[in-house]
Amino acid sequence: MSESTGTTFRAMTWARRRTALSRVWRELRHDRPGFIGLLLLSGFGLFALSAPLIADRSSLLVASGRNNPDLAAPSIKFLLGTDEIGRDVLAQLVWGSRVSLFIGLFATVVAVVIGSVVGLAAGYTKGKVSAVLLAIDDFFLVVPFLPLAIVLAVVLGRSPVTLSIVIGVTSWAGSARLIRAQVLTLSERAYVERARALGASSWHVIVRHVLPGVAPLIIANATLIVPSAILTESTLSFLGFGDRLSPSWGKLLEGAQSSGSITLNAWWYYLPPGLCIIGIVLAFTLLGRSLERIFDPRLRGR
Amino acid sequence: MGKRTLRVLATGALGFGLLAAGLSSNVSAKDNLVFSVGVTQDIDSLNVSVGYLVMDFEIWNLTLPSLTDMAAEDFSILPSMAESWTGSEDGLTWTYKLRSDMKWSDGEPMTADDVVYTITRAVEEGWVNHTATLANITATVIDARTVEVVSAVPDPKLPGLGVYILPKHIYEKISTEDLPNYPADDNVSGGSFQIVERKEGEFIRLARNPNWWGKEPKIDEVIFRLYETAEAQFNALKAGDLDAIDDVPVKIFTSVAAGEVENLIGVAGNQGSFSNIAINTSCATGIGNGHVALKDPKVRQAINWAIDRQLLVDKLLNGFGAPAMSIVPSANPAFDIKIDAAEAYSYDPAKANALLDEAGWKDSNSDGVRDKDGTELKLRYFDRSTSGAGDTTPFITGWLKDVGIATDVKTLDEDSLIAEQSKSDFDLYTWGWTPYVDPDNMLSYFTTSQVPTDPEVGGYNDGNWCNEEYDALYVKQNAELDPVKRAELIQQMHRVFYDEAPYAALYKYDNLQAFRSDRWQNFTRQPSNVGPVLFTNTSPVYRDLEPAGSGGISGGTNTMVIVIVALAVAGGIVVAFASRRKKSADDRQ
Repeated sequence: MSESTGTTFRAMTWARRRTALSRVWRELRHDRPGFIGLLLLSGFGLFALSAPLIADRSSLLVASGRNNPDLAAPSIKFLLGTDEIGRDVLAQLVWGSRVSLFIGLFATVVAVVIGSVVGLAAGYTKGKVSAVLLAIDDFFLVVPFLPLAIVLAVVLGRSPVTLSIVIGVTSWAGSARLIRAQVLTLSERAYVERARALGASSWHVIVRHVLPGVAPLIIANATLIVPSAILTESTLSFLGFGDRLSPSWGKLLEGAQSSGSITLNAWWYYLPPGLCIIGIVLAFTLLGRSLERIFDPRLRGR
Repeated sequence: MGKRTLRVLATGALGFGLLAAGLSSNVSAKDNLVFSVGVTQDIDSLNVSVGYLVMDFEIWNLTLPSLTDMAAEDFSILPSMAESWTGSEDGLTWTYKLRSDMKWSDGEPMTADDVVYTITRAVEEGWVNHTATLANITATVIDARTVEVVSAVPDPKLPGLGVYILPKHIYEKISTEDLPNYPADDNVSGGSFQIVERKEGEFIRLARNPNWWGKEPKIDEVIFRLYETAEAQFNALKAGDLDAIDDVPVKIFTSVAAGEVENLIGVAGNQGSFSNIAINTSCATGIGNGHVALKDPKVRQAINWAIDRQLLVDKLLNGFGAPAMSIVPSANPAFDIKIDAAEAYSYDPAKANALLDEAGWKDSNSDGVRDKDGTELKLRYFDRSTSGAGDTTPFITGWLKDVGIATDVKTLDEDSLIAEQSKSDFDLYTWGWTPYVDPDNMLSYFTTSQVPTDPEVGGYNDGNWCNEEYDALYVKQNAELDPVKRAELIQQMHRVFYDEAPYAALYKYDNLQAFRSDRWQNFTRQPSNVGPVLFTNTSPVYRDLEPAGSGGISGGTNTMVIVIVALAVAGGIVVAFASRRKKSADDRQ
């Protein structure tokens, strides 16, 4: 008996989620900027996935430019020319998109997890715990972000995974604030109070009632963290604090800058990674803003 | 919004006016010749007892005198403060006769007192830039114009004694405790130029020292301006804001050297700078944990054969350098290793593989990495975070992988790297050196006594390499007064170093510098033909520089500059006026 009720409940929940999802999809389709963002993003996704078709991984090796001209203009053989040591720029661009996307997404996961935990805890608890969490949050909000990231990158090392963690650890503070504010309003809602009156534990209330309430906000917020994480990775790489052994768009820009390709008018070296960074940041921002509008009724109609 | 745009325009026009004015003073006022040098490295300290950067040395070369000078051509010893000298039979005692007309820039006389005071104090307090030269030396005043120098051991460097001499009347007021923190802002000069203005992180301006007693420079002022990036600096040179720069990006330098950039000439000068990978040979010292494989010279030689030095020179240096087979002990190429091309390390992975097989390192478990007795040949590879220093890393790790040596790369800043080296806690690490003129220092770094045994103290011998034969040869050359015999001994040391391979020396690299050939001539290189112009051992260029051409600058340029200035000023006034009107309109609202 109870089991059958359980499945019915579950089925109902799933049905509700399905309708919610299709509503989001419908609204997204009609939200032009958001839809453009989604299309752009799919384009980048395809680009990253097709890396092995476009260029062999071996053409990333530094010695692969052995017999190629350095800083050669685009040609049939090298569609985007070569870099200062004769490597194919297109190969680095397409393989670099994987690194940039990976770091962007993984860093966002780190930031969102930390931000959600701190935000939920700070919003739901009262008194000292909340005050301490908020103080930590304030610290990460005001501390100059780039120097902190640089110091952490130097201390922790420079593989893509550690870089993601560094970026994640330095960029969760904003979302924690946002989530806490939402939790504060949710905890005053009647259904939460009712659950509490029925004897639900804090854990149950947070996981079952508050978290689903803030989830859309978290998703929208995460979409907006991705571009800043990608930008941070590019900045760190550009400043020479990135991973030297894996190609990323920031690293391409750093190579272009240090080899003087701007003075030498080697546009094929710095323009493509620059445009890619702008493109992907734009895509995520458009999508994130649009999701925010869809999930947050207060922003609708603006 | 509109207001802000106007403001920017106004300051822009004003800036342009100032720039044009600066240019005109540079070219038109013949009585004040300013030579502007762009640099990417700031001064560390002007205090001779602690500073160590090339930029510090450049300023000292301009402002501090020395007993003897070095020739621009070949580093041979020249008179400077000392106009003549005589040596004793055994070569241990040298008597220097000083010039009689010397004064510091503040008018105080410069005498034997200053020389002996500096040498004595430097030895007592162990000043970093003096000790190497003065280790065995004592100096005494015979009279105001005579100094006697005694060396405890025969010293092939004498009678050359190029250490900087400081003004006693300034430094005797500074105690031993205060000296390390003394900013050296007294601006008392005994060299060809004196400091007149300095803004930290921006520029340092020097004017000709009126009391200078040596060859009179033709330029009146030298300014070193600090730039954030090498590229920005190059563009400033191209635009005419600078007359000379160091550190030109290699691809840009190629086009300058080919004469493709109007009014600029490029000088690729070498004074012995080279890059290397130190291999931890784990000489028994009680500290450290280098990989066991690296104790075998065969493995170290294999690493040397696995590296394609020529490709590094071609791709990373664009040809402005040369493969290196051993340490480069001197700025003077006469002391480089002499080795047959057939014998020299070249790119030969087959030979590297054979040597590794011979040493017993084979890939028994087929994981692509060689192993022996259950130990994998996986090396910790520390690379330097300094910009450009790690460019070799992906190349070399790739080549090592090709011969079955795995690497684990970690990028560290120089301080952390030195800390790891002092603990001998590494397998391979990238480094580079710029040697002095005399090979003694560089050679001494690889003697057993320089192997670090205490992490707190460290040591220069970064291969942790002990070799009795090398040590014995070092002592011999250090006391050999016959230059031909000494050169032979040094070649033997090279040979030991080459066979034992505690280093994979990578390449000698040139300093890439560029100059405005339309404004200046007589760019003296040290040593001649191969050396650089800026940042040399004794900086003779500033005394030799002349304005380009005898005809001077044509009137056309001057008129042009005046017109530009006038236009810019007029524009500035108009814009500023418009901005003020707009501002008052805003205020009224």
